[in-house]
Amino acid sequence: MSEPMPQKKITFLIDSTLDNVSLAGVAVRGICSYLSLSEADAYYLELCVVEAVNNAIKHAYNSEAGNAVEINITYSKDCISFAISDWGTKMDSQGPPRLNFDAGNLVMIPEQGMGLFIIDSVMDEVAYQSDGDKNTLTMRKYLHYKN
Amino acid sequence: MQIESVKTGNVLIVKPVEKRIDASVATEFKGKMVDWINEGNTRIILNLANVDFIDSSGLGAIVSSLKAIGGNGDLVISGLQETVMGLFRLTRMNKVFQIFSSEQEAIQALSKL
Repeated sequence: MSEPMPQKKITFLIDSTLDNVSLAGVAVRGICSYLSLSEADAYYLELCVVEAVNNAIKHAYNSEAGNAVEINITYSKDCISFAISDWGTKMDSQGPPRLNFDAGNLVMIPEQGMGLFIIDSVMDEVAYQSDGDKNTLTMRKYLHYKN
Repeated sequence: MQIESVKTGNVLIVKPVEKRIDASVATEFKGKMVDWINEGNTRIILNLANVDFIDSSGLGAIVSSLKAIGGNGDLVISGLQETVMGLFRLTRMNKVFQIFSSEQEAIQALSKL
């Protein structure tokens, strides 16, 4: 019987204000640096976590401070997973996020609604589930090292 | 949010000092841009050389600024770091904005409008 792949895990909470989101982003960037990921991969992973936490604050908590957003990061040899949890309003079930627009039509260029599209484009697996009052967006990326 | 601004002829060059344009500063950023536009600045270069992180809210604020100018000028971008350029490509905003590697090229392009 083979040994299970060793995993490392960190969980932390931030209060639901947008000013705190950069702290979560910087933490992700630090972990990506520790894992020797490329600058581009680190940026995209930080971006996805920031988008997910922004969504939790803006939509689950309606931008009200005083609520917890939990960030759970797990990595193994070939994969890194981020689970972003809130205890607010559940996200509506929607199809795959799209970003279709005519770049030449100024009026139609989107100013919002790009976060889930970015997450869906960057990550290899994305899932959203509610367990009681807890809502969790789980994002998984298979790792490609620089060297 | 601190943003440097310099007027060169009829072109306004704005350069955020901070490294991040994210959801926490997007509204303030958009407000400052709209103020400059309402003062009559419709040819603007956004120099992002200092910026190493933009999220979708920050990107939305930049799009809002372009829309505030309307068809009477342009908002172009210079100094984009390669990682941030990835976000523009991912969202196809590189097809929306003119992106220049140097401020001088951007000034020349805007001066021809």
